[in-house]
Amino acid sequence: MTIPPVTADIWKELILRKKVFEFDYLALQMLLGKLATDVQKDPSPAKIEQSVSRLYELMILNQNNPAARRDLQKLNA
Amino acid sequence: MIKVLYSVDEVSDMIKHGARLLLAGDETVLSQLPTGNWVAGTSPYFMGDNGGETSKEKIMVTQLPEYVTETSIKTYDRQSIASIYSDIPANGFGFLIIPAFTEIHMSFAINAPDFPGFTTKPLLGWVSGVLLDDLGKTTPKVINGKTGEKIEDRALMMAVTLPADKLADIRMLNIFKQGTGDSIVFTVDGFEVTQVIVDGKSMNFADYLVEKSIDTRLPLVADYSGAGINISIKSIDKEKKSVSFYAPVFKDVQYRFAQPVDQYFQEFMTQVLIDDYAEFSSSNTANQKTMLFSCNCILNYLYSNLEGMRTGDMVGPITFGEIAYQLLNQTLVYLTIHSI
Repeated sequence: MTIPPVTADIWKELILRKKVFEFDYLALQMLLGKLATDVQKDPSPAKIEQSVSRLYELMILNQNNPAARRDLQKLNA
Repeated sequence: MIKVLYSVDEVSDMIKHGARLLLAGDETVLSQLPTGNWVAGTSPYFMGDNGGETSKEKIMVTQLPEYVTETSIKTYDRQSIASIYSDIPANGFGFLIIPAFTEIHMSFAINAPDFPGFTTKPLLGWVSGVLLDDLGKTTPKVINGKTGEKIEDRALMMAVTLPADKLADIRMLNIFKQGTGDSIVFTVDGFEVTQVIVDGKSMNFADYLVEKSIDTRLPLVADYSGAGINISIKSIDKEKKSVSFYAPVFKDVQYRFAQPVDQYFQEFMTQVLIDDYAEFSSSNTANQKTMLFSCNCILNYLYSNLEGMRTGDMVGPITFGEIAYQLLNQTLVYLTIHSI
C-alpha cells in the first residue's frame, strides 16, 4: 500500500477540509475531526504542519489495518 | 450463541485456572471473585446470550484468547491518564474502564483528544455504572483483579499485547445520523452549557430546546469524516437555564440534532446487520477476523427497549458511556481481531 509522502498536498487538503472523504477507519475519522477543528481555530502554517504530521504518522503506524488500507486507497485514487 | 453470562462460582473457576478476563457485573458479585488476571467494571445491565437482561447475580465474561502474549493492569488519575496511549503496546490494544460521574470520567471525556498519541493505538472500553434505581445509594466502580481493589475515583486499563500476526481494530455502530436542522455550535468544551450559537445567532440553549420542542432522546451529532459522534442530552435545568450532557460538547464543532428514529429497536438491528460485523458473524474461521468484545449504551438499552431482545452476537455490558479512543455515548463499540 502506497502512503502519500508527508509533503503531499492531500494531507493539508484533508486538514483544511478542501477534500472530504467518507472514511472507514475510526481512528482516522476521529483524529481528522479533531485536527480540522483545531486548524479552523488556529490556521497558522505551524499548526497545519503539525496537524499534517500527526495524520501522516497515524497512517504510517496503522498501515496494516484493513480499514486504514481502504482509506489509503481512497487517497490514492 | 456462546455463553457470556456466568455465575460467581463459574467465573471463580475460570480465574483459578488462569484465564485472563474482562468482566462486568454488579459490585456485590464482583466482590466475591478471587484475585487473578482480570479487570471489571460495575453494571447490572447486559446484552447476554438470551438478549437484554438486568441481573445482580450474573457476570458478563470476555475471555482473552490464548494467543494474547502479555497483559498488564494500571490505574490512572486525572494527571496520569494523559499518558495512556504510551502505555498501550505497539501491537495490541488498551481496554479502559472508567467509573461514571467522577472527575476522571469528566477529565478523560474532555481531554482525551489532546492526549499525546491520540488514536495512534487502539483504545476502547466503557464507563461503569449502577442499577438506575441505586443511583445516589451506591457508586460506579472499577476493580483491579490482580489486587481485588475496588476503585471509585480512578480509571483502570488492561494493556493487551497481541502476537505479530494479529491486529486489533475498533469499530463503532451508531443508529443516529446527523439531521438537516439547525447548525449548533458551542463556545466552550464541557458537560454543561448555557449559551449556544444556532445558525450564527447566540442564544440560551435551554430556551432553544423548549421553544423548538426538541425530542431530547435524540442526540446532537457531529460528523467526523463520516463517523457520527453523538452527544446525548442528560437534563435541562429550567431554573439555571442550563443543559447537561452525557458526554462533553466541544467548542467550535458543528452539531445538528439527529434525524428522528421511528423504531429504535428495528433501526438498531438494521445497523447491526448491515454493519460489516455481519460479514464475519455468519462466516467460518477462514474469514480471519473475530469479534472479541462489544458494549452498548444504557440509552440505547432504554430507548430501544432492549430488555429481553436479542441483538445477534453483539453481546456485552450495557454502559454509562463507551470508549473508542475518546468518550462516546448512545453508540455500540466493538473490538475485532484480524489475522494478518
